[in-house]
Amino acid sequence: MKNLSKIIICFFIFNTTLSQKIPSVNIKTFEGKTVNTSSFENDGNPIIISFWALWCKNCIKELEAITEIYEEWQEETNVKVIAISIDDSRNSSKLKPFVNSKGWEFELYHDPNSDFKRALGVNSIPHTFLLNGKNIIVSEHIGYTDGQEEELYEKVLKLVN
Amino acid sequence: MKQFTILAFSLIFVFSSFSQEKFSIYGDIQINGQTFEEDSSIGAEKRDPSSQNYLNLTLDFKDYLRIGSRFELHSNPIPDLKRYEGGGISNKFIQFQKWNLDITLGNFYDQFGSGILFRSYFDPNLGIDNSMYGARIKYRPSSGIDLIGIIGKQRNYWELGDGLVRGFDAQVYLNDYIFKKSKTTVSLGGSFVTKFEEDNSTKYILPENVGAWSNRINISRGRWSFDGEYAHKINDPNPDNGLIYKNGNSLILSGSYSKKGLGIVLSGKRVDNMSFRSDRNAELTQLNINFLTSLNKQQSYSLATLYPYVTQPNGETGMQFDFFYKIPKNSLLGGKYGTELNVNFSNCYTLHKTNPIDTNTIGISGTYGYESKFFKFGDEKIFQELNISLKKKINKKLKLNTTYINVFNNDKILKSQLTIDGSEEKIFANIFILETEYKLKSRHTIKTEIQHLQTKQHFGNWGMGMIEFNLGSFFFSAQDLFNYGHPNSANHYYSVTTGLVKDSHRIELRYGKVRAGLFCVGGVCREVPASNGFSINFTYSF
Repeated sequence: MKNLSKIIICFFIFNTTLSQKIPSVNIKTFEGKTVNTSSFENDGNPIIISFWALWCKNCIKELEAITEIYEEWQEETNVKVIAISIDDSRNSSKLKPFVNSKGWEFELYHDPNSDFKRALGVNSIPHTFLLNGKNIIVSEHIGYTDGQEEELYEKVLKLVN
Repeated sequence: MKQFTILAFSLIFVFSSFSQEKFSIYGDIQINGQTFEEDSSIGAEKRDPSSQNYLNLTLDFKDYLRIGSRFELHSNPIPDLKRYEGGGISNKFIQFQKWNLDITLGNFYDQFGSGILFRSYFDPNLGIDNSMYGARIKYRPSSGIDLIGIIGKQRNYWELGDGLVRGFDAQVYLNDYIFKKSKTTVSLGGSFVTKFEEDNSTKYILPENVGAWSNRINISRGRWSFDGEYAHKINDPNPDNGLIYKNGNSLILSGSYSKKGLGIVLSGKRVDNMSFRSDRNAELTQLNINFLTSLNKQQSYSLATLYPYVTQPNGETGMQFDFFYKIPKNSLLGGKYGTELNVNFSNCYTLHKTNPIDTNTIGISGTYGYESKFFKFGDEKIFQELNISLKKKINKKLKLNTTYINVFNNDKILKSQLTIDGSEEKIFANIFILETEYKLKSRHTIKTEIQHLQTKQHFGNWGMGMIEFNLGSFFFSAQDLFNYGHPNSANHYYSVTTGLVKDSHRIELRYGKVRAGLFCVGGVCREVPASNGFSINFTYSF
């Protein structure tokens, strides 16, 4: 226990110095096609990766809040949002109808056995990553409270300016 | 422990000094601790404080070599998870990815199709880690074709299960070859999985190799989508199915239609004798090779989780219907922002069973057990649930969420509830939920929840009230869950929670009482004992 707390303290100190590319993992489109995460690209513009699930109310809130202003964000910064569902197979067939009914215009994938989630060290969702034009993770946050998308967008603006 | 810390740090320092273009380090830490005080009013026992801790580390070298491990430390876990007691490296792997090849040695997680024949996964909340320890090869001969071969034994707490699991899966995305320009997309898949386990029975001759196969299809065209999966498993007498020699099978079908503002899904399933473990004597959530999906809504409100569905691997047949609709803006019911409506209905029955060919009684061990007509439902309803929820934004500051749930839970079959005098019963309940969220300013919200569960059976009525403040990175909530219809006593399960969330760190402190019951994720459940005490949870990802 003592040692674990030491590790934690050290990570707090060093975590700002670590930054990394997203790992290459196979995930699926809603049509069942396998896609590798290393193929994520946005012509050198920032990418937002958001992990969500049908049972995660805060995840849906965050993605809904982004939906409302997504067009504006894209016009100003060309940022792309990739939403990754970590629902297991019980909810697979609901994903497409759900997102269509919401009118989400994001790039959407399914990570049915949480392979990508695990590779990125995601514990709880919502967990959102911001990547720069070179696919390097520049910031991440867990949880969502109303209005947090504005903070995220400020970080996007910093990247493009 | 000390050696591991030193090793972990030296590795991190060495690798972080390299160029970031070449190396990446990923990981996460989870620390959970809980104290247990005696509280006779809710049946909580005094126990030593328990803690579960996880540290995952993965080093990625130039995208083609990955080395990872997980360190776990468990002290005084709750009775159901007692066998996790101890610490050490529970998971280690080395993975090589290049030239369309992906080879993993060590521990790995994977899933074929929906998991109907094979799924290894990690869920610390459920206490499940059935990771395979062995080898996996993934090969992609050309775009759209994916082949996977696996061999290994499954993790069983700090040991490995005895059975050897082997499997092969192929998936083809047809549009990369034929119908290239078609709007219809078709993807096909098939798997074969076997387990080898010695026959150690003195009474019966048990199959040492149990094979199972499955195939699946997904067809999508514009607004329409269809999924189907069928699995067949040869006879596998085990304590789950009462040592019968019947073959097993399972079918899942699902169709959907959706467009902007509307989504409809209809699914059906049938499971017949599909318990599949790498040790035929394993129990509960131990050593499952496959994962049988449950077709009902994944609930998150606390009273809605009181009577959960528990997957019945021996046999069940049921359906689910989902309807998502957004009532348009500026209409009578839609208001200024539109209103979201979701209706979900699901039910589940036992299988229809008749005498097997070799005897005139159903379910005798050492026989074929029973025969079952594929498209006929059994006599007993196991579960039924209707959910209707409306979500409405009133103005820029206020959001409302209302839910009505009608649930039928046949505890005679599910046997998942605590009972007073040991007699299971059929439980009918109505649940009403009102959630409001008020935004004070950006990242500052007040959320409230009022829930009521009304039933004449089991422990009677329940009420629940909750208030939560989110003030930037800080959160605080207080709740009381109270059982006022209990035939013997009225009980309050109150709790207060507070914490901080900053970037990828989260810390939460909680004090309060927890009711005894089942904690379930997707029909997979574990028992939670009643408790009264403090808990602390910390997570951090990097």
